[in-house]
Amino acid sequence: MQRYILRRILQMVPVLFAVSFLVFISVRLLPGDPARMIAGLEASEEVVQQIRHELGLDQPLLIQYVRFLGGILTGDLGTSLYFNTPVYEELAIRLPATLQLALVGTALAVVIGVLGGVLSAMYRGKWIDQLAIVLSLAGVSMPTFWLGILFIQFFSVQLGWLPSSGYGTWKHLVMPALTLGLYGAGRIARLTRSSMLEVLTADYVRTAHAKGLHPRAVVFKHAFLSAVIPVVTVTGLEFGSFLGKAVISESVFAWPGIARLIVDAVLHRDFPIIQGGVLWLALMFAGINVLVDVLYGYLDPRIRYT
Amino acid sequence: MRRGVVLTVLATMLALAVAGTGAAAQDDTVVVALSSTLTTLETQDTTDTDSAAVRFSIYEGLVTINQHGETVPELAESWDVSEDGRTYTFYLRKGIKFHDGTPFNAEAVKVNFDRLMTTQRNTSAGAYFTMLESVEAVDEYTVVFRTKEPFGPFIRHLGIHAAQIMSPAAIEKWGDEVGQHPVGTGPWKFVEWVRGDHVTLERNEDYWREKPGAKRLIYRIVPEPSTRVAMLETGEADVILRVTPEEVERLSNNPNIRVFKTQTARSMFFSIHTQRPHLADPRVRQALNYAVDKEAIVKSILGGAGVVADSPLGSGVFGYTPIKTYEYNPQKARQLLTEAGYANRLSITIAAPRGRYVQDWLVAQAVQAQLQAIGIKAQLNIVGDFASYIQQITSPDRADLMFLGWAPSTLDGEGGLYQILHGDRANQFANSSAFDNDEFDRYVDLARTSTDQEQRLEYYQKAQEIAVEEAPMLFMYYQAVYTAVRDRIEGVYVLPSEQLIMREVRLK
Repeated sequence: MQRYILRRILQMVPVLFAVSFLVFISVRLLPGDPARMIAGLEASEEVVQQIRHELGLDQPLLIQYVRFLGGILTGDLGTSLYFNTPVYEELAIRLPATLQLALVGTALAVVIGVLGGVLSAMYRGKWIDQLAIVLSLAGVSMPTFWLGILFIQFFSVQLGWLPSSGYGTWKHLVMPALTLGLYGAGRIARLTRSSMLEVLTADYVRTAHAKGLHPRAVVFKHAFLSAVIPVVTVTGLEFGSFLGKAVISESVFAWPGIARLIVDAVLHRDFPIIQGGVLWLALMFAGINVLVDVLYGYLDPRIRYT
Repeated sequence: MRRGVVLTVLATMLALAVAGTGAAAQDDTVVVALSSTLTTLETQDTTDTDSAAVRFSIYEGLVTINQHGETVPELAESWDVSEDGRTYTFYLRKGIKFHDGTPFNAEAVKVNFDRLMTTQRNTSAGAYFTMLESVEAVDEYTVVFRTKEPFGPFIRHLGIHAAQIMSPAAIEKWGDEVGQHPVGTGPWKFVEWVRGDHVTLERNEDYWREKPGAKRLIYRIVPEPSTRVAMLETGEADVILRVTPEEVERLSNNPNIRVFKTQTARSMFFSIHTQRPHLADPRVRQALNYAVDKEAIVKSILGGAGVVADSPLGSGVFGYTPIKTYEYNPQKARQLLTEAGYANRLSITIAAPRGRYVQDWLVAQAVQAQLQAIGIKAQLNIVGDFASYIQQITSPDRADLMFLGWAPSTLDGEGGLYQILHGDRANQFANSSAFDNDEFDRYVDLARTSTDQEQRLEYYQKAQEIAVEEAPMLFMYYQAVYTAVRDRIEGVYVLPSEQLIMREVRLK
């Protein structure tokens, strides 16, 4: 088991290496000049040229890339072009906010989604099922951005229950996490439902019913554990897409997280921040995948790691 | 049981989240919702408007530019200019202290300008002061600036954010990190900066002028415009900037909210590529000017947020003189095109940004439609990403017409005309008109080297007359901006340079 985990972690290295290369190249393929963005519109071409030189942006790409890699190996992600502060610092300040949002968002998605899916499967064809189907469809199809604005209008402007934006207390977290979580909840509910329905018709479940077990015990003890495996996979992937979806939640609710930092960095062509930020996210995503694989074994004794 | 684990995790996360504190608007705290992430709070770096708004609360300059666009003394009491126009002697105000207790004096001024002229990172801010030869502290309260050549707009340059004075002790203590530990002489003292979230300032109780009428001032970063509006409605924010025309009416109907309009110095125009064969004839360029109904665009698309341009210079910029407006006259436009031999066979490309200026892409669409109405084939390319858009300005295959807004931060004709129309800059940043007119250049050069301000005005008038007649641009309008504030506060205003000034804020 430990050897398996170690191997999986080592396998992340080439992935991250590929990510570092892709992000390095893609930000430089974008039109637009970081030096111009720093200098402002009033600066002359000579000034921009000088800034480009000071930042080392006039060096050959290969040298810039080797420097970037060398920096990563020594734990240095470089200096933000725009803020003139260490990239590591900018990321570290915002990481807790993003993690908080993604974790609570995922937790909400799992709780609401799994519960909805199981109920839906148990009461297949009944009104609970139909309601759950409609709600999960709404969760999946509603644009996150629009849902966020609706929440603000309703809970902050009309009712005055929650602060419309910002970071700090649990009250600030409710709307961003819910906006993020409802999208995932819809997907998880739909998956749980179909997975449960499949398992509920399996032979061993029929056997369990036949030997007179309480229906609830059948559903939660026997069927649920098998049905939940694909849900774990999707939740793991979902967490990754959350980091992307978080951009919208972070912008609408002024949540000071990494996703917004990266988007801003793209607008300003702040290469080091984009590179460092994407690497961080890739690392997190890869880590979650390892975690998901380990969870399989825990949930399903048939899966063994070698 | 596993669900129990999940719930425990959730509960823990929530408990952790409670640990922080929120920053809601309180009685003696005024909250401003800004839109973009702040870069740095030192004076000599970057040019973003929102960081500059915070700096205006913390720092002051030797002089400043007031609401009416006039240069007024601030940390300097007065100054003289030498006979040869190269030496400026400033007599400083006495008894002022920085927030850290360091006395403000001639040495402090010298330390700031020496840093501005020598530090690498400050290239862009330093570029406003390349004319400086030396800065000397003659005695405790007298500073002498010497320029390499006589430089007419010098005083205007001293009014910009890069010339605001930081505490020399803070510069020495923090070095390059002074931007995260700002210390100035202004009415607001720095308390904390939570990056990406907010900056908190408190009233400077030892301020040398009238103190602000609130205890704390918080600048919060809220990127989404509709969230900022919601915050103003709930009272979580007291001030929001750049309110869109659609929101103005709704907010004006709210009895707790006051909306005001500020005419800015930003001149909006489409540069016309004067060196392309089909646009080389001034009559063609004039025709484009006559073909567009600027009045209607300002009224219906901008919701009145602007006035029709009558010069390339924005109103409020030193040197601005109303020359003439090309009235909406499609008849005349057609006639000019016919005279130039382009009746019904002119084909042009237009580029415009989206999301940079107020309703920019909608304005561009209206212009395209109006040009098409007089038989011009106009193709429009809207670019959402501003970094790639401005890259096109210097590109040889850029569009014939490019929509731009120009607001010189010095609010001087030099910044307002040189970069966008002088022949030295043709095909470079930002003269995308490739305008290269010797007489125009001569007047702009004369106005730069003359230190007689009356004389400079005359030169600029001549230059503007040439520009309007030659029409290297499709003159559009001077941008106005809407600002909305909660009714409980007053004394908030916006400068023609679009800077929000919170120095005199009071609670009603």
